[in-house]
This record gives sequence, C-alpha cells and structure tokens, in this order.
Amino acid sequence: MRKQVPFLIATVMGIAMVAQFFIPTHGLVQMQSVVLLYGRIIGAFALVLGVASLIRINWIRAKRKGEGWTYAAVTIIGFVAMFLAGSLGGFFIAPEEPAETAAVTSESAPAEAAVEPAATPPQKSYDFGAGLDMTKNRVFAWMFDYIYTPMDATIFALLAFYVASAAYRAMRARDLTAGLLLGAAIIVMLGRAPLTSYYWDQLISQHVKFIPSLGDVTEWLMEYPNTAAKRGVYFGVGLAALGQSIRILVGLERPYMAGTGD
Amino acid sequence: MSTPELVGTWIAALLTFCALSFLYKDNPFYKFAEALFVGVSAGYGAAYVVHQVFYQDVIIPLSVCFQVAGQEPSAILQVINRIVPCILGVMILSRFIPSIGWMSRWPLAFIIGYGTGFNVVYIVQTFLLPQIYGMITPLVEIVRPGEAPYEGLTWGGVMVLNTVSNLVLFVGVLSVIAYFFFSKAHTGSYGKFTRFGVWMLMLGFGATYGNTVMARMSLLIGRIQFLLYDWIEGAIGLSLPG
Repeated sequence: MRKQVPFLIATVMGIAMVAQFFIPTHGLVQMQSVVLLYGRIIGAFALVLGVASLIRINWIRAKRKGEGWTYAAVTIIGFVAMFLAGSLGGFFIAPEEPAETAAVTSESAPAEAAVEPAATPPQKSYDFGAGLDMTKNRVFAWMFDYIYTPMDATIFALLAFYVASAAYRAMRARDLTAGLLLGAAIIVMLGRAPLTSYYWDQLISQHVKFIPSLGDVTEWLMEYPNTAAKRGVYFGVGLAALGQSIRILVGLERPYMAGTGD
Repeated sequence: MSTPELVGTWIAALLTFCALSFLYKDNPFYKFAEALFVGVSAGYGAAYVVHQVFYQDVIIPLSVCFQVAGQEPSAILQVINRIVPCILGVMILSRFIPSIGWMSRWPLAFIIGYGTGFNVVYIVQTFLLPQIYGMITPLVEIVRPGEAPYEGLTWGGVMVLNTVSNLVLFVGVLSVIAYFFFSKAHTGSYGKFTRFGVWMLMLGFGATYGNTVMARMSLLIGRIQFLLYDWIEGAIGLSLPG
C-alpha cells in the first residue's frame, strides 16, 4: 500500500502519457487533458505546501524573537499583504461593461476609454468563463508594480556585480582554455555594449579592412562555437534525461518516496 | 502623477536603494528588502494559484456543475474530475504530519509519473531530434549563379567564411560529445579531438557568460532609468540636464 501503490500510479500514468502520443485515440487525448487538470490542481496544493512551510518557519522565528526575528515578521507581513490583495481583492473587482456599452464608449473616446470586450457569461453547461483578470485588481496591480517588480529587477541587476566580481577573482588566462573563456566573454560583453561596439567600428573596423566589426564577431561566437557547445551539452542532457525518465517508469528510481520515512 | 503613483514611485525608489545598498556591504536595509521580497513573492504565487487554479479550475466548474447536475448527468464526471485531484492535493499536505506522511507519495507519484511519461516524448522532440536535424545540413556553401551576390571571400565558388563556420559547428558538436564520452581514454588523436571540444565549450561558456552579464546590465540600466526619470523627474520634480 505504502510502497507498491505509488510505484503503480507513477508507472501507469507515465505509460499512459507515452501511449496517448503514439496512439492518439479520442479517449487517450481526452484523458491527457484530464490528467493535465489533475496535475495543475495537485501542483497548486504542492505550492500551498511550500508557502505554508515558509510561513511556518518564519512564524516560529518571529515568535521566538531570536536573531533577525524582525525580518521574519517582514516576510510574513509581505506575504499576507500581497496574498490578501491578490486573492481577496480580485473578488471585489467592479463588473465589466456589457459589450454594446463598451463599443459605444470606445467610439466616443477611443484613446482613453478603450475597454476590452466583456467576459461572456457562462452559456453552455460546461462553459466556465474566462476567470478573473488579476491585472484589473488595482491594489494587487499597485503592489505588483511598485513593490514586487522594482525589487525583482534590482535583485537580479545585483547579479551583474556578483558575476563581474566573481569573474575578476576567478578568470585568469592561465592557459589556452582559460584564455578562450576570458576572450569570448570580453568580446561578447564589448560587442553587446553600444558604446564600445560603435567606437570599435568607427576607429578600427572601418580603417582596417580585414578586422571585422565587434557586432559581427559577437554574433559569430554566439552562432557557431556557442551553438556547438550547447548542442553537444543538450545532446548529453537529452540522453541522460531520457534514461532517467525510463528508470522512473520502470521503478528503478522512486523520487516520490523521498522524505517520508521508511 | 496621481497620489497612488507618487507614493508607489517613492516606495519603489526606496526599495531599489535598499536592495542596491548590498553593494556596500550586508546591512539591515538590504535584509529588510530581501525579507519583504521573499514574502511578497510567496504572496504573489499563492494569490495566483488561488485565482488561476482554485477559483478557475475548481470553484467555478463545481458551482456550474452543481447548478446543471439535474439536467446534465455527465456533469457528475466533471465534479469527480475536480474532487479527486483536490483529495490528492490534500494528501500532499500530510507531509506536515510524519505519522501519515506516506500519503503524500500518491499525489507525488501521480505528478512525477505523468511528468516523466510526458517528458519521454518531449525530450526526444526538443532535445535530441533538433540537435540531429541541425547537424544534417550541407557543410560547403557554394555561390550559385542567379542568387543574390555574395560579398564575402570566395575560393573556387566556395563561400569560405560560411564553410569554415559550418565546419567549426559540425566538428565542434562532435568533439564536445566526444569529450563527454568517458568510456574511452582521452589520449592520442582522440584526445586531441576532445581537446578541440574543450575549446568549443570554453568559447561557448565565455560567450554565454558575457551575454548573461549584459542581460543583467540591461536590468541595472532599467533601474537607473527608473530612478532618474520616474523618481527624480517624475516624483521629486527636478529636471535633469539634457
């Protein structure tokens, strides 16, 4: 029950998904859409598990008032604010105008008052509508635009400094291979920057015929050596992933058993 | 600029400074921004799931099905298709209780099983076959009469640069694959061949690194533009030169 049923579920589902590709009968294709729905709903609960874990850990930290408990509290407050704004706020969105009214409004003031066509109410038995448009939730959109997006972009922008500093410490042209790595990185960085690319072309490429433009060299590096490296790696990754998938299907690997005892 | 926009721009600017302050050293402002970002991201994910999955895939269909259950006998199947994954989903949460934690294996086995089956076809279609298709192309490119004039270097009607590039790609891929083949010792002429693979890998990694740095730089430029134009000019009201 505890060991054989999960194995059976995984194997049957895996074989069924492979079968629906090779034998695309109506029943199997329909089964695929149902399985995808199941996966979406179960995946949502998995996200709930992750979020609940995060909140639980931070809640314990904040409650014990140990080192850095205020940051744990900030995390919880940020979560609660965004979650409430997004999940509850959406249910109070004002109903959209009917399609006819929207058309009249857009004719009278086309630029400002262009309203998207109203969502059609459920007509048939299984027409479940288009759902809520989260972007129309003003509080949620405000928090997304002014809190989430700036921090997301800034924290990712910080990576530019991290990788530059890591490269400064690690990249040394000790031998030919390290020199190739360093050279390719410098050429692509300079070639992607408009200023250096422009001055290279103006001062060098236009005067010395056999020296190509920095943009062309960058494109060549990206298109040929980079593709060759990636293609070889993808080939290996593909074979390894295929092998791993088959091992899971036949039960040699059982990752779903991890972390639950025995 | 409306009041919500003005307040939002100030908050966004302060949070941007908090995050950038890490460049000096780790400090409470950065930790605050980091903690807030983690919370807000989790809240965004949870809210998204509530809307797009629980509301759209479960609550609305169930309410519609219960309304038409009398006239449409097949609605019961739709109900089952919503209730069963919800039960499986709740079983995932059993991980919080170690004594019944084994119940989470069923939904995980379901997800991993169908994902694996789906991947078997997907991997072949997207990882393996396109790499082979990409390799099976003519290596030597020849200038053909009637086609657009070729301005690059030619030798006996052969486009030299294109042909060399194609050869670099073709031999490069083979040598990279050979480098990752460890059942044969990398010695002699085979070792030299795999050495060429290492060169290709280094050029590829370097190019990818440069590309990544510049992508991050464009994000940084975006933040600086926000501070200059949206915050200093828009919110504070100072006019910048130029």
